Amino acid sequence: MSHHAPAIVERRLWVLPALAGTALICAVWQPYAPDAIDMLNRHGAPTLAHWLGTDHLGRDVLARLMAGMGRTFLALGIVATMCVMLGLAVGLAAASTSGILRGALLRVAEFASVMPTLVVAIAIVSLLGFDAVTAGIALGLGAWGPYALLADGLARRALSEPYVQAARALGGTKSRLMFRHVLPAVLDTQLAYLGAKLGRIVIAYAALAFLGLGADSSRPDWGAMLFEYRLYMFDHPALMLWPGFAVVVTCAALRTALGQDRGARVPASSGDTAAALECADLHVHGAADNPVATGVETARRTG
Amino acid sequence: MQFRILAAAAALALTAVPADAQTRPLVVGQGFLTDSLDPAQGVAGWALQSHGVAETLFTVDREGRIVPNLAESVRRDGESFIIRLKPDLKFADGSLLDATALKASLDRATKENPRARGQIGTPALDVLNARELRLRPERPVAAIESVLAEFPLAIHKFDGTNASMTGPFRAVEFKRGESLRLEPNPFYRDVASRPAVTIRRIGDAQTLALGLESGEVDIAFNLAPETLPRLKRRPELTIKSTPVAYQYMALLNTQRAPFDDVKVRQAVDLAIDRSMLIAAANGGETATGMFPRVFPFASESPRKHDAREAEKLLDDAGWKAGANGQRMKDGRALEFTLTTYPQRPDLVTIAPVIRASLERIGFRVRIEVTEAISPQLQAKRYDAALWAMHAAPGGDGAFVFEQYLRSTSATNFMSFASAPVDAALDRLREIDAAPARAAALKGIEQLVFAQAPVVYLMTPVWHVGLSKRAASYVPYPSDYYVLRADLRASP
Repeated sequence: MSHHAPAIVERRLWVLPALAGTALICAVWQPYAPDAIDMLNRHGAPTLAHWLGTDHLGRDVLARLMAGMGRTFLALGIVATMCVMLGLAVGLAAASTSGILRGALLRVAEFASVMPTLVVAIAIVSLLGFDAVTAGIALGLGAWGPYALLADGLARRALSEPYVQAARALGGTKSRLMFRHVLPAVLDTQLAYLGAKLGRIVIAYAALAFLGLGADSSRPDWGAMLFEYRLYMFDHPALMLWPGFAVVVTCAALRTALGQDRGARVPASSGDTAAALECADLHVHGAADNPVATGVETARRTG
Repeated sequence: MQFRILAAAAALALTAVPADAQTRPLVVGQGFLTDSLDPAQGVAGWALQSHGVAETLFTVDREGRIVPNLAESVRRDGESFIIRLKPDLKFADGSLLDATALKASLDRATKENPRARGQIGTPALDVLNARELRLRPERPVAAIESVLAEFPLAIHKFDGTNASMTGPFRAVEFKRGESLRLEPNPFYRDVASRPAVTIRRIGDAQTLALGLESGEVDIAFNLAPETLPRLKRRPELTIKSTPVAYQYMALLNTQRAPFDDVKVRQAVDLAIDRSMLIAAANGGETATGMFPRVFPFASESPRKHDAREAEKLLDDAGWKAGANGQRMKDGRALEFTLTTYPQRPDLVTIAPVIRASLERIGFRVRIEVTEAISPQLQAKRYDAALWAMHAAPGGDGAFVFEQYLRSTSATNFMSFASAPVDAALDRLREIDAAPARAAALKGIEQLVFAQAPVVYLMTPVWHVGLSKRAASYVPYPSDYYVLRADLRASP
């Protein structure tokens, strides 16, 4: 196996669940109700009771940031699910068909790819209204195109692999080929691509919340907080800094957890002397009634 | 959303180097701009009056008194009124405003704009001589001066394409939604003493404050209270604050659940802690009813706050609180959307405070901020809406009651229908004496309180920021007269 794999697994084991767990906790529990008003404690400085202080309506800033994290990750989950599911469905369907249907599927995916995600999301959210769920759906509908094209390309490559052709020759059905051989080959890269893009989704969600679009600007989304607190940019800058900091840290954490996977799994070609295929204990027999090769153990690298 | 993008663009534009400060027009930044240069369309009469372009026969002075403006006088003649114009009045195109032109203006206004028919219906108009016009309202009217001071009756001359008006300024360039360039009306008195003016629509509160700070805006009208501490530290700026004759209120759509139940409406009225709203808006007074306390016909007692009584009303109405505090009835949650709009920044600020008050007693409230609230109200596509309204633009209380609470009015956004209120408004039309009118208006208020189609919240204080060039500007207690004939610019 590649010597990079344990590091990847380690990051995935610790950073992602840590982020997801934190988001889950933040979604269901905050030290104060994020919308609770306390007019006697406006613009409160950080204290033991209010770690990040309070805003212009006496609301606890930490509670609002936590609720915002929960909402951000809810949207993120919806986007991720939609991109992977839609991308796989359309991409695999295109790869397994031909002619007009394949052309139509690919044109739709290409159209979805060239349309800027945020523009599509703005149009959809302005129709449906804004909350974490509708924004997630809108961003998902605006972002699935590249996933479908990627899935199509990977699936077609997988379908041309000798082992898949052999499986087909042995009588494997199309659905069996797709689910047993092609899907695993596609999914891995699909998830790596998704990981690299999640940070952008966080920013896109914050941008949607900042723009408003009929949204409840007083709800604790990080983007909405940036918009609501802009009036205090000079007198109470911390109010804007905290949600901005939350966006940056989340993007950085996601990037660390997933975005560098691809780099780790796709080593640079320049100066890389690692073997592309390692074999151990390989026996080759030429007799017609014997297997061509036995005792093969390989470690294959991508790239 | 659109206004936020525009706000960002405006913020960038404000970084441009200003033109020669000595010769450039005074720049007024404000959240509203007329949609039309035709005063007979919608509320354009109000906006154009505010911009100093349109005038009415009577007007309201700084102390809230009704005084003659284009009219010299009006006198009753049986069921009719004789309006006598001041001499030598001219429109901004130089043509004479005589009784014939006045008749044409009133004819057109009442034909085109239902608001203009609100009190006088479609009147019979007869030219008596060059300066006198007989007006016979379709129904009885007692306070005719007040009616003639209402913005839908702004006096204008329409040539089929353009309208010419009589105010101290005239429009020379109009970019819808963006700006209006004005020059002094050459046919108005003291024309040489007034500067040219550019009104720029700046919907975003922070952009407006930044515009004032950068010197790009000379008069920043209705600044957000949140920006005041910073602006007050700038020695070159003057901030003037004034209580206004506006009232902030929540309109409740009586056609929609849960506000089709009077007990729920009454509960909302009782549940809102108005002192918290005033704290959030950094100033103002608790509302006593439709009218700010400066008016003699205003109710005296502040609206009551009693959350327990509100909860009891909801219990009686069948809305029972669950374990999490959320009230339910027949499997439905007690919830609604509270709509507000950014052009009145105070309303956006107080909306979460209202929500907090109501969520304490078991409501679930979603806040929606919309760029164009009027179409939503007109189409009645809302549950509850925050609204800012001048309570007595003509110096008399009948106008807003007629416009918003008469069951047949086109602007009765709440779909409020009350036979006693309609009957009381009919009686009000017959009452002439001011004390009797005040008593009648207070009586109507009590009828409205009992049905609570509208929840009166607070009387605000507005803030105007001024550059050195505009430091002599004195704000009126409303936005009906932002630009007036007394506007001057220092070098």
